[in-house]
Order: sequence, then structure tokens, then C-alpha cells
Amino acid sequence: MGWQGNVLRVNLTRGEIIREPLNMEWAETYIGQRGLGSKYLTEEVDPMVDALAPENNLIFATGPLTATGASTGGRYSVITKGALTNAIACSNSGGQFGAFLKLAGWDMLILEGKSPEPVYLLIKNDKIEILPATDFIWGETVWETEDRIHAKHQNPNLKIASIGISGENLCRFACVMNDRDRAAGRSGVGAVMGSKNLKAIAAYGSVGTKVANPKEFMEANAAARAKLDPSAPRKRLSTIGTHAMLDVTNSYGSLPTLNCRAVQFEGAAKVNVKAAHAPRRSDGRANVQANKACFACSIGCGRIATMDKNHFSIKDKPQYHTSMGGLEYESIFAVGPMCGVDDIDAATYASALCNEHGMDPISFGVSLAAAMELYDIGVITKEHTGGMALDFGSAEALCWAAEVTGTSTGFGKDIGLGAKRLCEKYGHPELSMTVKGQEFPGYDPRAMQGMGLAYATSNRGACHLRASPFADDFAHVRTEGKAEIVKTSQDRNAAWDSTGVCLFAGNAWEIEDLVAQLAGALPGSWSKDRFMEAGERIWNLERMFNMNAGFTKADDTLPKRVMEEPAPSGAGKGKVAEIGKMLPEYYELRGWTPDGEPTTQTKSRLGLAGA
Amino acid sequence: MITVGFQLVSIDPSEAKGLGKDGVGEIPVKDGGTLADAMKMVGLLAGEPYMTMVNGNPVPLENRDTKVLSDGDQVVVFPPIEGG
Repeated sequence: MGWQGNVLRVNLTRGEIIREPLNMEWAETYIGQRGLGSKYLTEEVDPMVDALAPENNLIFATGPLTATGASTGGRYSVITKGALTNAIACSNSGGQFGAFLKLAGWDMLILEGKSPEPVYLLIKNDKIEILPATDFIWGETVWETEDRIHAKHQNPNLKIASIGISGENLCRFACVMNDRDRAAGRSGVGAVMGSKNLKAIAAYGSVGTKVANPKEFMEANAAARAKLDPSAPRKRLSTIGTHAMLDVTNSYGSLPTLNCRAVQFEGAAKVNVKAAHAPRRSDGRANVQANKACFACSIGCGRIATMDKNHFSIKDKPQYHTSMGGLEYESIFAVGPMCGVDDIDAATYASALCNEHGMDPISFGVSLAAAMELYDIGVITKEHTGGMALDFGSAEALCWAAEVTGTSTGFGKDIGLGAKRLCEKYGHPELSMTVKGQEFPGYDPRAMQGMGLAYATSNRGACHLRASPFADDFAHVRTEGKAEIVKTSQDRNAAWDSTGVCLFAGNAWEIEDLVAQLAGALPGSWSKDRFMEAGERIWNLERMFNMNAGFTKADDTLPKRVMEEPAPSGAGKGKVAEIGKMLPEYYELRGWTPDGEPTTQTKSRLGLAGA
Repeated sequence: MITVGFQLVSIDPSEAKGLGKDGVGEIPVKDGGTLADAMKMVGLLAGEPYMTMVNGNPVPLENRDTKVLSDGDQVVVFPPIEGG
């Protein structure tokens, strides 16, 4: 109930397909999706394994509320050891794929080994096939892959997760894409899929889902919808999307700009949400044409966009003269201000190529920004790039970089290393705006000290979704109180990401609104305390995997630039990120030693003593 | 009376009054008036969880009633937005 009770295990080395019962003891303590997938990973994968080796597993996990009708309940996660970070990775995606995997009867898909030849997996309820991808979809883009699978199997209801050319070539920040423009985007989970010679998973499900207490579930669901649907955050996300954040961070002085040399962007008005909604001079159409929702979602934060057909990037490419997934805050910050680019069509094109080739636009943009700074100081030259001038602000360089990185050609292979490896290769590791190898999202930690702590302590590297200290960070530029806010938020988000419901519903819901739906869907008794304890357990489990993989307290830090160079403007003007002031309190609140290791008592309290 | 600059960021200007279509304008505030007074002048509820800044510095919700404005101050208000 809530859970399907079934795990699909596929050993790609041997071509074996195995159906297993879900471990219900683990399900009850780790909920599902992020938590349960992480539990399976930590039980089955040596933390020291090479992320791209066959011994690493790749897990697609749904939550107990996925596809139940719970509001925004269409999420799934990809859990593995990340190719970008070498830390535990969990990348969450919406769209339709996760719901259809669940509707096919599966809580989780575990992929082991490495196929001798490129393949794709076809799931139609309990009929599973491993099919050849060579001379069919291997070497093709995400979009072409989806089109060909749909054409071959003549089932438009097949929902597809796949990698692009980027993942095949083991780009360190390759995504798993689904439904054309939704992504399990971060930490290089697509490279792990590529390392297994697995191009795509196509799922169709008609088994359905059940909940334990239908009346209770429906009442809780209706109450949650009644709260979410008329709420201001839902309306805002629906109408102006996450893109609206750009004006906020730019006003506040926390918009990472020019590889974090600046925190406010002069060209913001050319790439903000207002610019995206303004009619173009050339054809009178706006960049944003419509919004798009994921499975069971009433928010619809996704954007559908068009580009100017006369823009230099696409004037000779009619395949882009159509509507496609548009800009969100994280993509526009990364390919726009972070690279100094104020051309919204170039940004839209670069973002579209990230979707088409299966790259994380955050990591791509931030890695390009690092390359631009290396070019600016004369370390990278035109000899390295093959003639392209990588100037900050160059829309031409942005579009070119998206093309060569997406297809892993020439200097694109260097960008595809990610900012950390790129900057190390060229002798300037200090120019990499990363934590644990993962590139910054769109919040500069000098004005947002809580976000800085969240980045530094995130189990998957710099991330804006592992904790949500926004409200306090936008009210106080200080270090006091941040440790508790971040710790509590990390536990809350870890549990939330384990349910199958979108974090954005949390802009309108209290934890109790979600727990009421869990209580309706699942057997047993669910409370806010149980939910938060599960989140804390998941966080510590992830932490222990990382420590067993070789991470230490020294990795709970931020780039030298934001810790030593004061913010030049904005609310944080003159301030640096002060991790050292917050970390001891954070460790203490977590029940960890001063070296950041969970104590025996903490592990025992959370049932992790044997982990 | 004093005059303060007022700017809405990522808030629909139709939610406020006395500002331009772009959500920017100048508003009169009584001498000794506070940030909360200014927000009421434009029709925003001071007790709502908006984020506010005066002259580039954040002013938390709990300080809006006591933050006295001066002539020429620049007020920025943006929504309680999360994530991206």
C-alpha cells in the first residue's frame, strides 16, 4: 500500500532480469525514493568503488506517494555514486517517467554491472526486455532517442528516461533526462548510466497504485490541494516560474556573476523574467510561450519557450524554430550572469542544448565560467579552444561551448570535466566554484550565509535543494542561528525527497500536510516526528557513505574566493562566507564529533549502528 | 512628509497601489514613518512574509514596525520565494 512491494533488478553484465520483494523493514524506516534508494546503495555498493565502474549501481527509485494522486506526486530519484563528485548522488526529477515506472508495478529499478553492448530497457508492467541500442539510438540526442523509441514501439504512452551524447561520452555532469526536458540533473548520474552502456529506459504502466487508507488519504489529499492551489507561491511559480528569482538575487546581491567575481549583474534586465515575457521586435512573440506541469502537479513551474529565428545561434538550424523547454532560474543564472552573458536567446539555446544532449545546465554554465576566467587570465588560450575567444559576456562563446560540450568534441571535453577537474588541469583549483566537486547553484554564500553552510555540508556537493534557508538568508546577513536552520531543513528535505512529492509543494504546505497524505497512503502510524527522524536518518546514512568513500571534515568547505574575497556589493557587501563560525555548532546539533563523524550514540539513536 | 523610493521585485504591480506599471515609484510617508507604514501606503500587508530591504540592507519582518525611514530611502520588496 503506497509502496508496490516490488523491486526490479537488472544485471546488465549478464543480461539477467530479477523480480524481488521490496525490503519492507527498510521502506518503513527510509520511506522511499531518496531514502530507500540510498539504503539499497549503501548496502550493495562499496563506497570506494570507481563511480564509472560496473560495480557501481544505478538506482531509479519512486516514492510511496508517486502516482497515487497525491498533489505533485510524480517524482522519482536516481541514486548512485556520482561521477562528478565521487560522493553519494541522488538526483530528483519530475515529468511523467517516474509515475509510469511506479504504475508498471515497481517501486525501484536497480541496475548492476555493464552491458557488453549498448542497450535500452523496455518495461511494460511485468514484461521486461533488454534490447539493442546500437544502430538505433546509441549516438543520438535525448530528443531523437525519445522519438525513435516511440516510433518503434508505437506507444505514445511509453515514458522515457535516457542519456544524450554527453552521457555516452561520460561527461562528468551528464544528466538522466526524461520526457524531453525534465532532468535528474546533478552529480553526473547520466555518466554512470553511460558507463553501463545503457542508453534509455522506456516504461509503460497500467497496474495502478493503491493506498492503505483510501478515505483518509483522499481527505488529506483534498485538504492539501485546497491549500496549495490558491496559494501565492503556486500562482507565482505558475505565472513567472523560478526565473523570477533572478531579480531577487540580483537585488539582494547574491546572484553569482562572472564566476563569483561579482554578486550583481549589470545585464540582468536583459535576461530576467520580464525580458522572457516581453514581445520580441523581430516576430512579436515572447520567449516564454506557456508553462508546463509534471505528473499530478497543479503548479506548472516548467516553461515552454521559443527563440528568435533570426538569432545567430539558430538562424540556419530550423529544428530549433519551434517550442521547447525554456529557462528556469538555475539554468539562466548559470549560462547568463555567471558567464556574463546578457543574450536571452543565446541562453535559451544553451539551455536547450543541455536538454537535448543531457547535461546539467548548472554545472555546464559554472564550468564554462571557470574556463572563461582561465581565459581571462591567459591560462587558457585560443590554442586550447581551437580559435574561440572565451571572453566573459560572449554569447558566441556560450553557444559554441554548449555545442562542443554537449557533443564531447574538442575543448568541450575539457569543459565536460566539470569546473573542479578543469581548474585542476590548468593549475588553478581556486577558480573552481564547487563543493565536493559539484558546481554552485545560483546563490552566492557571502550574502546568504545559511546557503553557504548548506553548500558546504551537502552530501552531494553544492546544492540549493538539500536545505532551504531562504527566508532567514533574505532577512539576515549573519551566521547566528544558521546551523539549526540548515540542519532542520536538511532533515526535512531528505524526508520530503523520499515521498515522491515535489519540494515546491512545500512552499505552501507545512510538514503536517504531507505527513497526513503519507499516513493515508501507508500502513502504520505516521507523524511529523517520525518523518523528521527518517530525514535525519537518511542524512546520516548519506554522510556515512561519503566518509567511507574518503570524504572528511576538510571537504565541508567552500571555495577560497567566497571565504576570502569580500562581496563587492549588495546586502553582503564587505562580507565573506564564514563557514568556520557555523560548522562547530552544526556538527554539535547533528550529534557528530568535532571532526564531523556521527557519534556512536547518534548512530544508535537513528538505527544506523550497523551501517 | 518625506518621500521614499519603492520597488517591487518579482511581485505583480497590480497587487500594490501608487506605483508605476513596472512596480517602481516614489511614495510619501509621514515624518517618523516606518517601513511598515510605507508598505501599508502601497497596499502591501506589512505582516505578510515579504522580504524587504532599505538602501540595500535586509530588514526582517519583526523590525518593520520600528525601522524608521528617512527622506530618499530606497525600499525594495520581494516575495518569499524559495528554490530554483
